[in-house]
Amino acid sequence: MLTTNEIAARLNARVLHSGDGTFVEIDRVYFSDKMSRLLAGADDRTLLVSHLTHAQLVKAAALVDAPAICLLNDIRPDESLIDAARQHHKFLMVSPWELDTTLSRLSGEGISIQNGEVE
Amino acid sequence: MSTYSFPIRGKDFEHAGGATGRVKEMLKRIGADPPSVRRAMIAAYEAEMNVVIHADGGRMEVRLEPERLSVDVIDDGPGIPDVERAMAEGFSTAGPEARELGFGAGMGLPNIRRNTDRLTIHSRVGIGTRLSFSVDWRQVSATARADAPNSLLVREDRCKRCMACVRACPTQAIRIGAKGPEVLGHLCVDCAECIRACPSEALTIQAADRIDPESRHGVLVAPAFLRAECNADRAEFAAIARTLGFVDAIDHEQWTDALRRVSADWLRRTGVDGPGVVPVCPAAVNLLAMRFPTILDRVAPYETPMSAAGAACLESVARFVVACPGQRTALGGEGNGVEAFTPNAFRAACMAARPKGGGRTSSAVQKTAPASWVVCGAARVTRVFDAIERGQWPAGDLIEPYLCEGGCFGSPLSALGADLSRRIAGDPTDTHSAGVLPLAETRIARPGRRLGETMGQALDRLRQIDRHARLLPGTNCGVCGAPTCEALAEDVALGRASVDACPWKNPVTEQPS
Repeated sequence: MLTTNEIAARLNARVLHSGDGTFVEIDRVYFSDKMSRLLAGADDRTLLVSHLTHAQLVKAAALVDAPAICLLNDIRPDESLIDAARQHHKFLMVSPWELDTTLSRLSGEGISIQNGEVE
Repeated sequence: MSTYSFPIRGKDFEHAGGATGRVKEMLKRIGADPPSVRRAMIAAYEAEMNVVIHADGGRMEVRLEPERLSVDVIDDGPGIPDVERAMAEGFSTAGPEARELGFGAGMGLPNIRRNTDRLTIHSRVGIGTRLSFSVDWRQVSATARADAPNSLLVREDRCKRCMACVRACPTQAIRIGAKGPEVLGHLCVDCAECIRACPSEALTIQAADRIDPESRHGVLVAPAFLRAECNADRAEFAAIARTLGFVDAIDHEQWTDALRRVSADWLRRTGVDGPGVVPVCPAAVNLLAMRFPTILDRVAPYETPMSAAGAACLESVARFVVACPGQRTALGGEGNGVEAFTPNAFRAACMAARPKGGGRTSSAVQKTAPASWVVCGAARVTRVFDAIERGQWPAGDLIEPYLCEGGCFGSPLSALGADLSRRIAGDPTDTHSAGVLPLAETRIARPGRRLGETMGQALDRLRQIDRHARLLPGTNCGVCGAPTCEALAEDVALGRASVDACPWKNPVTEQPS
């Protein structure tokens, strides 16, 4: 298991907000571009990976206690998303890689990957 | 039964999820179990988003009952022509705007069905839809201990009514009344945050502020930061104590060190499911018992170091210098025969040595040994307990929480501050042998902000709070002496205050109670 900080370092990801500052361990990554799938697939040790970049992504993560979110493709999200992460104490990072590379790098670190789009 | 109604605006994706968030806060206040809360949140969010996506508007009506949460989500949307088809995974009629935002996967209704115990949908095309679901829950048990003992001393004559203590208190346990600060015993965790915040020293510990000559015998048990202030090693500090009339001096920290070692053994031996917590700081243990009762079993079954020190020194007629109210309470509180002094009392008795400079920085979360973590500060400790409760902290670790920044070295009564005190005091190992005290009584959950022992009582009070809160402006100005308008509403509901304390209350919406 890796912490959110360690995952960000391994991905060379930009950290937009470091959550509540605690060492959150992640044992599973869940990818989807559908909110319902993210809600259903998240738990309190899940890193959510998505192309979605609006504030509802953080709100949904907060409702189901998912601690961290990873965006893709070095995207620069809207300030409202970062504000929401700040408000809900969620770890928010942006991977410089596209989806497949991001997931394969995380898989290479021994983290369980679940692709919600191909379930 | 308590009933609430939250409006939902159609096509307002910015504020969507707001009603569900409000419901989540209420469920936490009444003590619903986390797995049920999670299920309820998924169902409520999906139902709320259906209204946002498909209708011009609607409302979420929530009924809180002792056994369950029941929710009706009612909208004036186009209606569902074929409910059975809509329940099938993958079926969706969401428009492009919603799909672009990640909604419209055709999983909303299946998600609701999976996460609820009862679900009914009544829909009429062209008129609207009523989606009703309920989630059963179990209440996390908490035994009443209305006013837990604390050792905070209020000096009303010094209070300038600046509200600093009210804002600093991590559990909203202080109100400013007519005569000054009033401490709510059921919420106070006996930490020192209010003492730290008060600029006029209106708050301190219930301990003697001077050491009378007749008290100067026996062993002096003191926090290591006092030794650091004297720039003395253990032998030198004992010599200083002897010049004051004591026979010896011992650091508190040796009991902390003993507890740390025994707790590590306990964790290895018992294989607790999750990280263990070392009960070093009485205030941190109180906080955990009040806000995180589900992880009480992770706390090592020993009394705090100060309780162990008090018990060990009973026969040797020790005198104690205490660093916080929690330590005083751990000794048994005032009136139990154990004499305790404030650090100021010690300083007044001996101002012989000067500290040397230097010091080192320490991070807020510091790894002391493999898999053993010191966590300092009320906000960080709260977040770590929260992480443990949610199962996010790995098993096998040992957490050593302190509500003061820098641990006991960071007590507001330490003159040098945490880092310099620790630097000068040095290694916690000591030549004196210290032991631990097995827990005399099982730790029990404290109701704290939970509104009642039973779900029914909590719901009744929640309803009253809601009624009173409607009279208040929601500006949290603090003029009434409470930290927030919601806190005043709670005080009124629990008979601790009158709504007239608010000069800005809305007389139009006032109703007879």
